[in-house]
Amino acid sequence: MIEAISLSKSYSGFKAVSELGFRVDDGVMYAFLGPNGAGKTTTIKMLTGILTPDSGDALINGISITKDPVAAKRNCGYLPDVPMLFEKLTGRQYLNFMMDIFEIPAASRRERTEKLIESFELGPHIDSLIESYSLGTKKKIGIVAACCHKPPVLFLDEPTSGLDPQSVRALKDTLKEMTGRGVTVFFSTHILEVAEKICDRVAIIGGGRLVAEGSVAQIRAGLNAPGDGHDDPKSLEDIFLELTARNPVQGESSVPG
Amino acid sequence: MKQFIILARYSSIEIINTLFRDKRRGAFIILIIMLPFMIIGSAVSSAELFKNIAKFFPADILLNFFAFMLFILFGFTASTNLFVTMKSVFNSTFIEMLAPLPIKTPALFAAKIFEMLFLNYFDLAFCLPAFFAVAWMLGGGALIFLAAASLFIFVETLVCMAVLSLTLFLARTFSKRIAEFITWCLSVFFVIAFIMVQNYPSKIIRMQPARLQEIFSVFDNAVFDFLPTKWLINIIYGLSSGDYGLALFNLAVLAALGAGLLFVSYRFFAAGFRLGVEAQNSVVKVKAPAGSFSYKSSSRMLALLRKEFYCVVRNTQIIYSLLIMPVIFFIFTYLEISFGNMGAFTFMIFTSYVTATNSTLLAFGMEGGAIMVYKTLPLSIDKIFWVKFIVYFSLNAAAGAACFIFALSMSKIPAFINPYIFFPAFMFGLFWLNLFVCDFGFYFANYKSDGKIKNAVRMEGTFWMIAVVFTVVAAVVTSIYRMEMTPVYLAAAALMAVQAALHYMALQNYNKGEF
Repeated sequence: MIEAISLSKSYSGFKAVSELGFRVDDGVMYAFLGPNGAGKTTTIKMLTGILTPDSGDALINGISITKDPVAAKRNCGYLPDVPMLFEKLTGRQYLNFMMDIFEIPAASRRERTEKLIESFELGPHIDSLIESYSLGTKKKIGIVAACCHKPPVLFLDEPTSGLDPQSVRALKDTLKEMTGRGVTVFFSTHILEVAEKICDRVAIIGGGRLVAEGSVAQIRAGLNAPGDGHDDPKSLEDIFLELTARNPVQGESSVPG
Repeated sequence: MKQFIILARYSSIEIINTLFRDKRRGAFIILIIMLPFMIIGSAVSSAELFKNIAKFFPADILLNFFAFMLFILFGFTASTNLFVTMKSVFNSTFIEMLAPLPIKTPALFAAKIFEMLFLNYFDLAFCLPAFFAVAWMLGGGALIFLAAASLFIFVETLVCMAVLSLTLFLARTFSKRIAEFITWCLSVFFVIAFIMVQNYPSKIIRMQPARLQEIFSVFDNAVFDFLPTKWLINIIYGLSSGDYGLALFNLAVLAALGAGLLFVSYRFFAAGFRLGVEAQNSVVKVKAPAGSFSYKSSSRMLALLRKEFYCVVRNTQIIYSLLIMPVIFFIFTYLEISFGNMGAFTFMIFTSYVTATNSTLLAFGMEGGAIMVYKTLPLSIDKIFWVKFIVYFSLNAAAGAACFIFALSMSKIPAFINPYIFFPAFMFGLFWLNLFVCDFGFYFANYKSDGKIKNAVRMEGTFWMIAVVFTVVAAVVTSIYRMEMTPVYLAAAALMAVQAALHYMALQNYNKGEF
């Protein structure tokens, strides 16, 4: 379970995130949408303890990320938008490092990783240094590292960017399997089709504020937008464009967000 | 030409923006203000020395001596230049940004040389003063200085072309690691040669005329006529003495060399730059066949230690930083060469100091963007800090101990020092020094630098580190002159206070996460 309580963050006077609050229950796949500079990455960084919020708090499985960050992080897996990894380790050493830190028993390590390595077609690269990987391969190893310790909460920042179609499919399958086990998946994306198809709930952020939240059907109903005169209901893309146009991004942040 | 002008214009705008609009502009502006003073100060002192030497020797020998000094200076700066160029080849932001654009290869080549000239601004502080001093010594007026400045830019361009050719040759011919190793060996050679040349003036002052004649007889040799720096000096000599024929002839020879280098470096650039870029992507296989890896578990502390150890020993940038000074120490002590007039014992302490600032300073910044991985893990920063410190301190302690044992075996530890008492004190000193440097690097870490070779410490960090060195040296010198320890105690107390403050501020920054 994830709970954001009035999260706010400013950079040199620029309000990147303002009074953001929402709750994501166990086993829910939650898409976090917004235009560039809307505050998505800043929010994820606050939820994962990378950034300290100016005010507000976030609870990960009931543990405060600001008051007890180490305990809260034990419940998280995280994939950043740009995969920055320990480049002088091999892929397999990196995965083992993560499992050491999350204290995964040695007996279950091979079973946990080999399937993911196979699904993401990492076999030929896994014993090479990470510095030699392509961007997509780094992203894949980042996904496996975020999932291999079976965290109850998973944060993924733009997980599909840079991935080939096979890997996108593998990712979707993995996430579905994880939410089926009760894992909470929180991810940001620009690909609205993915969000519409696989997510249980959607949040749209604009100008650092939450402008809509719920299932796609609920948001559509909230907008009172059955369609634009045609028979088809409005797509998530139409809803997104309409809502974000009402809440434009005020300026550019110096920190990606 | 039009394309080159566009590229040069925007490169210049980028540099101007860095100097005046960057957050770190304060440090840059101070450096720019200091640079003319450094050039003039260096030039005046070198010229005074040259004038003293000129009293004893005929022009031919003197010109050869100056040519040799300049050759080593240019070689030294070229070897550092080689590192910068190697970095730009393997980082390849230049080529990746510009290669997809409709720019002709000659313009791309010219832009690369232009970029190299700017990147090697430090040559201004080393080579230009020496060159000005030679011009002054040879009786230069304002016009001769102008000619010297123009020739300097010309020669620097030649150096850049030579360095580019060599870098591309290495990148094409060898793997990245071997290319870096060869670059490193060349650098060590020129660093040693540079230090020997730097030692020369102070030795010369103290020498008996007979010994001076004996040493300078080496320079009475026609082989020096083949040094490009001799042609350079001949131009200045010809201009100042009114022998324009000599100046023109040597200018023509230098121009011919320039044409040759232009041809070779352009050919290498046109054919090989992309190959160099490809070389950076060569897959580095670790000798662990797939499937043989055992997923052994270990404690978090051990996992962190193992990760840090792997990352250090596989990082050539850190390994070279760790090795360069001890290697120079071994060679100098063995050959009984003085380093900056230091005795072997003082040099050993200096070596440990420089090694710590070269290596431990990088402990945090070397993570680059991967510092985010740590931030998302259930680990306290104290644990991460101490693991990094332990690994870097252990390597520094091993290097320090090796230097100590070597100095002891060569009987270079002064007789009044008991090695059994000194060694633990030396190790404690290293411990504190590494702690200080680790905190320094933690606070001034540059997490935004990524790529094969990282600028792990922010510019202002390097600047303040130099300020710390000057403070310590000033305190020690004042203590020696006044024969009292107060300045050293004050400096030590100040450094401890600085360290505590830096550690606190670095923790604040880390926790805040705004890198």
